[in-house]
Amino acid sequence: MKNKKIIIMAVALIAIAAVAAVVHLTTRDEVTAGCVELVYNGKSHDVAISDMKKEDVSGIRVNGKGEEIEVSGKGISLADLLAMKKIEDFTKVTVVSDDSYSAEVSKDEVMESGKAYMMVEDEEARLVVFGDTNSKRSVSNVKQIVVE
Amino acid sequence: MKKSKLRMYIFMALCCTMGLFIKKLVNPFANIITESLHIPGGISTAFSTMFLVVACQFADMKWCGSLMGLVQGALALAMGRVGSMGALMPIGYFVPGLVTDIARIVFGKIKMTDTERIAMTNMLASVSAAFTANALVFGLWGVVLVLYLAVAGVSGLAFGLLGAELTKRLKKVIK
Repeated sequence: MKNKKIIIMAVALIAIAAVAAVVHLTTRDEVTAGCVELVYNGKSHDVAISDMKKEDVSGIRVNGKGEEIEVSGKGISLADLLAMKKIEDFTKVTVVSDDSYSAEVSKDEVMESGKAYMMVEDEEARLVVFGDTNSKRSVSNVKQIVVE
Repeated sequence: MKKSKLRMYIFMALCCTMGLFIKKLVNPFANIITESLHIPGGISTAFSTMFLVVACQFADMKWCGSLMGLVQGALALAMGRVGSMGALMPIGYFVPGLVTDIARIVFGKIKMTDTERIAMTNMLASVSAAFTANALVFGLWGVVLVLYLAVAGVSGLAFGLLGAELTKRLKKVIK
């Protein structure tokens, strides 16, 4: 058979992808639209983005090209968000987007004034860490916040 | 410099540029799939590495892929197209180039057709690019990582077949 090796490889890869897709899509937590899932102490609950006590936030963030972008809009600091849920005892916060991309923010950074914010636009949350020199912790379409 | 060598360098430079920019064309379609699977990418890079693999098929040069990867990395840095990898972006371009070279050496010793060789090389280049991006930026693990790498592999194989077809047609023009 012509190109037999490709067919075998393609079938194997598609099978792996299919199994992984089924496992991934069936085991991931589905978050209600307009909400962010907050996970703390093994328990999770949805926080409605509309319920977050937002304030006017402005600052400079760095985009993927290394350019400085001025950010201004409505948002809530991570510290206020955790205080809203009465969470005080933690060491780090991991923010996860819809495509499984994640970024970590340490407790010191969370508590630092004007540092880490959840910016809200069109019922979608985005993590912005002001002062970072790259965009690694700019997480759009945030779906989950894991507090450890 | 021989005219044929110069022509080859121009072709390699063209493939470098195509690899850098043309994946933007595939991105909208790729995003439909990756968004539905909830993974951060892995498809359009396979299209990008295809140009690297095709160029290596024609260039009679050792480590052609690594060289092109380095050039792509330098170009990306110079043009500010660094994405979320930042200053580490050249690594993201160099690794698939290096893997392309190694795969070509290994597959050169195995009995297989040109189509198989190109498709498998592109699959490995695509998976290595995805793996590098994960190590430098995404930090995925477990089943999501398996899915991300498998999708990169499948698309690498598919675009590799396209690359093989492209190579066949270009052979009539270039050689």
